[in-house]
Amino acid sequence: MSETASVLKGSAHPNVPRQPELPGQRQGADSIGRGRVLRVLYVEDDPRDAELCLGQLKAAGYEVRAGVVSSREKFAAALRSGGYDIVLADCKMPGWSGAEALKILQREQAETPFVVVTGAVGDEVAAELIKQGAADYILKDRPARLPSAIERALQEKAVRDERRRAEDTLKASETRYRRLFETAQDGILLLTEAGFITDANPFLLEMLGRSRSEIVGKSLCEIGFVADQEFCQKAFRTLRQGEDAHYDSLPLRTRSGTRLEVEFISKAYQAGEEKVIQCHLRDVSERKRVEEELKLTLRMREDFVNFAMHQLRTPLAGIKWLLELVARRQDLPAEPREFIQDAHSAAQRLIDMVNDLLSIGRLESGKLKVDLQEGSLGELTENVLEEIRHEIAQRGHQVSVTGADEVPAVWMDRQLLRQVIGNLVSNAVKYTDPGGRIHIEMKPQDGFVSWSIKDNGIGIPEEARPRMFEKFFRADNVHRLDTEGTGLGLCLARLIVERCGGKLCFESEEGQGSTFTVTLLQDSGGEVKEVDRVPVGAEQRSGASNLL
Amino acid sequence: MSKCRWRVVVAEDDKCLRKAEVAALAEKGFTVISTKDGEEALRVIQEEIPDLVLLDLLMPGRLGFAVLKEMKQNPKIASIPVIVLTNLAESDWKVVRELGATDYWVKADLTLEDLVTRVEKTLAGAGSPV
Repeated sequence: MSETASVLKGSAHPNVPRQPELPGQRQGADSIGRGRVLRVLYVEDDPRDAELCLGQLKAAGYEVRAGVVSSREKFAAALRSGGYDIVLADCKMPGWSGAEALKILQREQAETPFVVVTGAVGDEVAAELIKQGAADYILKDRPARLPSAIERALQEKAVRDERRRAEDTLKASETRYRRLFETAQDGILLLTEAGFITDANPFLLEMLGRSRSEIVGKSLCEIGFVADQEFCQKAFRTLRQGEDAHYDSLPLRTRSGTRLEVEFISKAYQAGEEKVIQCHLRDVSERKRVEEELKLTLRMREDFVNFAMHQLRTPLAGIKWLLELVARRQDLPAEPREFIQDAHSAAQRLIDMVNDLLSIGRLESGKLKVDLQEGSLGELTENVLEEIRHEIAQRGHQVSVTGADEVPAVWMDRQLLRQVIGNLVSNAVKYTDPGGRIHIEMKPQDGFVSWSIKDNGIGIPEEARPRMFEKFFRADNVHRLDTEGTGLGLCLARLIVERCGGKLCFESEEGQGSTFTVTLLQDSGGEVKEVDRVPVGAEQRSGASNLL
Repeated sequence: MSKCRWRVVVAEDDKCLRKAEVAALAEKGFTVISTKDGEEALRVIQEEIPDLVLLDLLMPGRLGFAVLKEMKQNPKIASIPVIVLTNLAESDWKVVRELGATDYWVKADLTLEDLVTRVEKTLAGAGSPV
C-alpha cells in the first residue's frame, strides 16, 4: 500500500469526522462490519467522494484500511503490491474508466470483488459492468447501500473460493488416482454392477495382450479370458451379489493362449449413484512356479536324512549298475569276473547299510510314518523263510515253526515288520554253525502275541549283551564266522518293533545259542487305534541322527 | 515285436547312472535320448515325443516333479508313460503318483535287469510304437 496516493486508516485517525448517519442505519450497518479489518483499494479521482464512501464503511463497523488511487498506473501498482479484500471504482476518471480498471483487475487478480461506485450511470453501462464481472454497483448518492453490497460481494467471493478449493482438491485427487490406475504394477479392472467392463488399466491390458476397446463394454465371461468357464461363472455370481471375492489363484488365458495364474481380489463399492466392482489381478504364475519348486527343494533339504541318503545312494547305485553291465560281458576272464562280482556285492552291502541308516534316521526323527494294520505273524514268517530258503539249505540248518495257526492277528506295519522278522531269521541262520537247529514259536500272552526265534548258535558274550542294540555294534565272537554285517540290523529291528507298540528282547549264553523275542499287541477286533508307543531310549536316539 | 522302434528319453543328471541306463536300454535295441537337465528334458520330450520317459527327481534346471507336472498339463505329451527313478525316500511315491507318474523306483534297490524289464512291461501295456 506504500505506493498509493493516500492511506486512510480508520482506527488510526480518530479525528476524521464521521459521515452523517441516516436514522436507524447505524445499528444494522454496525452489525455488518463487526470491527473486521477491510482492506479497500479505491479507484477515484475525487478524494471527497472516496472519503464519503469510506466513511460509510467505517460507520458500518469495518476497520477500514484503504488505498485511494486515481491513475491506471497507480491502480496496477497497488494491485501488484496486493493485500486488498475489495476494489471500489468510480465509473469515469480522467483518461480511463471503471470498465478498464475491472479489466486490469481481472488480469491481475480476478478473484478480488469489484464494486462500482458511481455518480450517475446508465442502466446499460451498469449491466455491462456486471456482465463483465463486477460484483455490484452503487450510486454515490445512495452510499448507505455500500456496506451490504460489499458484504455480499465478500460472501460471494468466499463461496467462490471455497468451491474452487474443492474443485482443485478434487482435480488433484482425480489426477493422483488416475496416475495410480495408469501406472499400477497390478492389473485393475472396473466392472458395472451387471458385470460389464468399464475400464482396465494398461498393466492388465498388457498382461492379457488386449486393447482397451476390445474389452470395454463386454462381460467377464464373454471375453473368455478366465480359462475355467465354470469357475468363472461361479466367481462372477459372487461378484454380482456384491460380495468381496479373493482367489489365490485363478487361471487366465491371454490373447495368445498362454495360461497365467493370477491372484484375484474384488471389492464392490458405491460411487455416487452407481455400484462399482473393482478387481485387482496380480500375475502370480512365476511366483507360484518358483514357490512350488522351492517348497519341494526345501522339503527335501529339511528332511536332511533323506537328502543325505539320496546323495549317498546315487553314486552307489551308479557303481552297482556299471558293475552289473560289466559282469554281463561274456568275454570276461574268470578272475576279473570274480573281482567284479565281489565289488558288486560290496556295493550292494553299502546300499543295504545306507538303507538301514535311512530307516533308522527316519524312524528316530519321526519322519517315517508307521502304518499300523492288523496282520498275521505266521504268514509273515512263512514269506521270510521262503525268501532265504536257499541260504538255510546251504548251511544245513533245521528250521521248525510252532503256533503259527494258533495266534491271533496283531497290530503291525507289514513292510517294516517283515524287515524285523527277516533280520532275526537271517541272524539266526548266520550266527549258527552249519547243521544248527532253529525254532520259531508264536503264542498268545494276555492281549499280546509273542514271536520268538531260538537257535543253538554262537550266542552273545556277556559283556556284549548290554550293547546289542547300539548302532554299528557287533560282538567280538562274530568274527569267528566269515559273516558280513553292518551292526545296524538289531538297532533298526528294535526301533520298528517299538514303533509298532511292541517290545524286542533277547536271552543268550555264549556258545549255547540265543533267543530273540518280539512281543506285539494283539488285534482286539475293534477299530484301528493309535497304539501307545514305547518311548525310544535316550541312548538309542543319539547315534544315527548325530552321525548323519 | 521290433524293439528298436521304441524311443526312450533318459533324464538323469548323474553321469554313471545315465551311462548305465543308456547302455542297458541300447543293449536291448531301444533308441535312447539322454539328458542331464530338467529344463532340457522337457524340451527334448516335447520335440521327440518318446514312447517312455525315465525321469530322475533331483536335477538341475527343473526338478523332476516340475517336469512331470508340466508334461501332464501339455496334451501333446501328457499320455507318455513316465517311470520315476530316484534315490529319495519311498514316501515321495505319493507325490509323484499324484502328479501322474506310471511307476516309481528307488535306483539303489533296483538292478539294471529289473529296470529294463519294467520298461518293457510298461511299454507292452502302452501298446505298439507309432
